[in-house]
Amino acid sequence: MENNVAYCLLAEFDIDQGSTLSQQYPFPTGTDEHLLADLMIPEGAHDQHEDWTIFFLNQTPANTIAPPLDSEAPTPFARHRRTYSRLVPHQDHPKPQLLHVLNLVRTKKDDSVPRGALVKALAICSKQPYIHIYKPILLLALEDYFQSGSPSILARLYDAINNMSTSAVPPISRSEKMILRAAPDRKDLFAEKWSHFFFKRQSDDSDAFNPMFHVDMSRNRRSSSNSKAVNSLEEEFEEKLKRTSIGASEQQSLNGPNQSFIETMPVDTHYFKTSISYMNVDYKSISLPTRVPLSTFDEEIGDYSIINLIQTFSAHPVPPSPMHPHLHTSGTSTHPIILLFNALITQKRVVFLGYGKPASLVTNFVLAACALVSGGGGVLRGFIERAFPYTCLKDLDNFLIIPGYIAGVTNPRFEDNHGWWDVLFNINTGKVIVSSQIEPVSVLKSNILSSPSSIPNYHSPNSGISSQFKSPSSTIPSSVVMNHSSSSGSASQSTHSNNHNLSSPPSWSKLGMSDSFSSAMSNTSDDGSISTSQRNDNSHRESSDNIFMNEIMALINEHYGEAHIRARFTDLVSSFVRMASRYEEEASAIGCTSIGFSSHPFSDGLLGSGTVFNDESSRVRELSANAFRIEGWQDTATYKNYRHDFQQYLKNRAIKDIDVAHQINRLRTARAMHPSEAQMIYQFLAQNTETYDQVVEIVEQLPPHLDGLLPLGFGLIHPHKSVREAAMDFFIKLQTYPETFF
Amino acid sequence: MGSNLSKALSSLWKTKELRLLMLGLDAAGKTTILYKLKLNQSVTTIPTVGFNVETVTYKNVKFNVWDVGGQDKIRPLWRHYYTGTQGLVFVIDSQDRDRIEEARQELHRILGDREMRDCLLLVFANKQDLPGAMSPAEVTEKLGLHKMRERSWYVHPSCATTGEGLFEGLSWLSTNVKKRTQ
Repeated sequence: MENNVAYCLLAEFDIDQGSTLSQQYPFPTGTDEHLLADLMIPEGAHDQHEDWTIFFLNQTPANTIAPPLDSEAPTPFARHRRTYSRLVPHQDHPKPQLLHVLNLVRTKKDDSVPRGALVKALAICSKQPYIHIYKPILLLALEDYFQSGSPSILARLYDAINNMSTSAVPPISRSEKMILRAAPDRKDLFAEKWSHFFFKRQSDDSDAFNPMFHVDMSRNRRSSSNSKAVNSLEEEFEEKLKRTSIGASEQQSLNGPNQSFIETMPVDTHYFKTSISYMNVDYKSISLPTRVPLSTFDEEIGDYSIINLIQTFSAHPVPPSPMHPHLHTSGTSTHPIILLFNALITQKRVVFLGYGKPASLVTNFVLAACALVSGGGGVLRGFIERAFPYTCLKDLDNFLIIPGYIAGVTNPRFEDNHGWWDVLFNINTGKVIVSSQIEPVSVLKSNILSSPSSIPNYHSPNSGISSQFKSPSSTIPSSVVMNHSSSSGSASQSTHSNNHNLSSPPSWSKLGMSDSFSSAMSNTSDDGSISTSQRNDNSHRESSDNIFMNEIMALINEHYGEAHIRARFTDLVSSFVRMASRYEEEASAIGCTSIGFSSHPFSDGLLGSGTVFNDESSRVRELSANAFRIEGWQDTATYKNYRHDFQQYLKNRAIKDIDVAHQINRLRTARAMHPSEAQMIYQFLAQNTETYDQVVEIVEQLPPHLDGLLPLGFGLIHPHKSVREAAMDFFIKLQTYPETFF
Repeated sequence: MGSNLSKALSSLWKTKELRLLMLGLDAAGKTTILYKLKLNQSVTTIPTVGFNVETVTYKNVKFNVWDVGGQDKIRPLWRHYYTGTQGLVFVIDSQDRDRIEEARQELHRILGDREMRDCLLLVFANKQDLPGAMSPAEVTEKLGLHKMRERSWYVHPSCATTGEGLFEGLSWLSTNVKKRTQ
C-alpha cells in the first residue's frame, strides 16, 4: 500500500542566508534545496501572515526526485533520463509520477528575535490529487513547531498522515466518478458499493447486486419489503460493521437489520470518512476527522474554485491587440474565460499574476484553469504536468523551457517581460494581456470549409426534409418531434451543432465571409492577426462560446454551486473534442479520425455516430469558429494524450460498436426524428443494459443538469407503438439498477 | 473638444516616470528607505522575501522603486530586475566596514551587466546616525567609484530612519535623467 505522503519538508527564512530548507523527512528529495526553499517561502511572504501554496515535483530536471521513490521502478540511470518529454523525445522510461506539494508558510512578528520576524514553512509531498484534505494537520504541526522548535515535528506529521487508513475506500471507476461529480447533491449514489465492499462480493455481474436492489436506499429511506436472503446478508453486514469504524458512531439504537443498513450508509457517498491522529510535542493525541473525496481526477489538484476564476476575469473585455486566431475565437467579443480556454488548449504559455496578494490566490487560479480546460480531468489530461501553481523568479529558468507552462506568480516583473509568456492574467486588475511577442499564426493547414462536406447532415424541420426521409411516415405531425426546448439548459448541451438554429439559412457566400475565421484568413497577408473590422460581424449572432458563457454567468448569479459549473465546463470540453474529431475527419485524406467516432447520420437502419450537424450553415459556423484552435490543439501533448485515451476507451468500453453519446444526444436535441431511428436507439439501449458497467456508461451520459433520464422518457409517450415498446423495454431493464434514481 | 483640452492639460502636467532598482547587501536599510520615501514615516521592517515595489512621487517625478531582498542566495535573482532600469540605488550600511568589500564586488557585478550599462548610479551611504559610520568620501573610495568614468554616479549620506538625505538623492536622479533625455 502506497504512502499517503512521500516527504515532509521544513523551510525557514534565515536573515543572513535567505530562504533555507532546514529539514527533509524521511530522507532528502534529491532536488535543488534552494529552489524548494524559495518555493516554500513565496515572494512577498513578509507581507502575509499565513499563506498556502501548491507546487509540484518530478516536473523539470531541477525538481525531479533522486533517487526515485521505491514505488517507481528504480531502474539504474533512469533518473538521469527523466525530463520533460519534449526535451528528450526518445526516452525509454516513463516519466515518474508527479508529486504534489502542499505548503503552509507563516510569518510571525517577534521583537525578541533579530530583525523582528520569523518565517517558517511546512510542506508535504503526495501523489494524491486531493492534498488539501491535509490542511488542518499542517496548521497544527506548524503551530507546534513555532511553539516548540522541535525537530521531531516532521516525523510526527509523516507518521500521522501515513497512518490514516484508506484501505476501506471502495473502488470507483472513471464512469462512476463522472456520475458522482454530476450529482453533488445525491448523497447516496453508489451506496451499494459500500455495502458491496463489506460483503466482499464479486463485481461486474449485475446478479451480484440483485439482493441489494430490494433495499430501497432512495430519498424517503423507508424500509424495504425484504426477503430472507436480504435479512441474512444484512445481518452479516451488521456484524462486519461492528468491527469497522465506518458508521460506528451512528449505530447506538439498532432496532432491526433494515434500519442498521440504512443508518450505516455513509452520510455522503462522495467522500470516504476517516481520521488522522496526530501526536503533538506534548504527547497529546489529537484526532482530526478527514474526508477523502472519491470523485477526484488526476488533473484536479486541491480545492480550487472555477467560479472564483470566472468572476475575477469577467469584468473586462479581452484586449483587441495583438489579436491571435488561436485566442480570439469570437474576435473582440471573445469572453476572457474562453480566451483562457483557447490559450490552454493550444498550449500557450499562461501566467497568473497577483502582486501583493497571497500566493494561495494565484495557486488556486492556476489549478482552477487546469481543471477548467481538462473538463475537471474527466476529458483531457496533460495540463497539470506543465502547471506551476506557485512559482517564482528562482524557478524561472526551469519553467521557461517547458512548452505551454501555466504559472502562478506574485512578482510584477512578469508583467514587464512579454518574452516570458503568451497570455497574462492579472488578478489585481482582472485584465488579460496578450504578449506583444506571441508567435503569430495566420494560415490554416487544411481548408475544409471551401466546399460542403461529403458527410450528410441531420435535417432540422425548418431546413426542409431531405430525400432520404421522404417516406410516407415523414408526414408525422410536429407533435411527434422531440423538441429540445422542452429540456431546460439546452443552450449549453454537449454538442454545439444542435443548439442553435438560424431563423433562415443564410446564403453560402454570406456564411463564408461572416466568421472570425474568414476575416482572419483575409488578413493573413499583412500582419497575420485578425483585423478589427470583423469585430461587429459577430454582433448579429452570438458565437456558441459567448452563449455558453452568458449562461454560465447567469448560473453563477443564480448561485449554482461549483460542482454544477464544473460539470458545464466538462460539457464544453467534450463538445470541443467532438468538434475537433469531426474537423480531423474532414481534413484527413481518407476521412477518418483517431479521437472520435466517424461521423454519419442515421440512415438505412444504421444508427448515427460522431458529430453530425443539422445543416450546412451550422457546420460552416461551428467548424470555422473552431478551426484555428482545433489546429492549435492538434500539435499539443494533451491532444496526443486524448488520442491515446480514446483508443484505450474503444478497447475497454462495456458498450461496443456504437457511439452512445451520439444516440443520447439525438434523443435530447433532435428536432424531427424518424420513428425508426427512435425505435432503433431504444432497442439498442435496451440490448446494452445487460451488465452493470454498461448501465454505468449509459447513465454517465445522462447528468442531472441535462435533465437526467427525462429526454429518454419521451419515448414512453411516442405516438408509435414500436417506439413506446422499445423505450419500455429499456426502462424495465434499467429499473433493476440502483444508480438510476435520477 | 473636452478631451483635447484634458489632453493638453495632462501633457502640461505630465509627470515624468523613472524606474529605479534599489539593491544592496542584506540589512543595509533598503526597505526602510522605500517606506520612508513612500509614507514619510519610519516603519519597522522585517527581512524582505523577494521584493517590494512602490511608486513615490517627488517634484513631479514618479519614481517606480523596486526594492529587492539582499541575502547572499537571492542575489543571483537581481539580474531579472535589470531590464528597463534607469537608475540603480545602491544602499550601503556605512557602519558595516567588514562587508564593504563584499558590497563593492556586488556593485561592480551589477554594473557589469549589459542591461545596466546606461543607468545612473546613486549610492546611499546609509546609517549615518550610527557611531563610526564611514563618510561618503570613504564609501566612494572603498567602492572604487573614482575609476568609473563612463557613468554618472553620486554618493549621498543618508539616514533612512529620519529620512535625511533621501530626497536629495532623488533630486539628483531626476535632474540627471533630464539632462540625458534632452
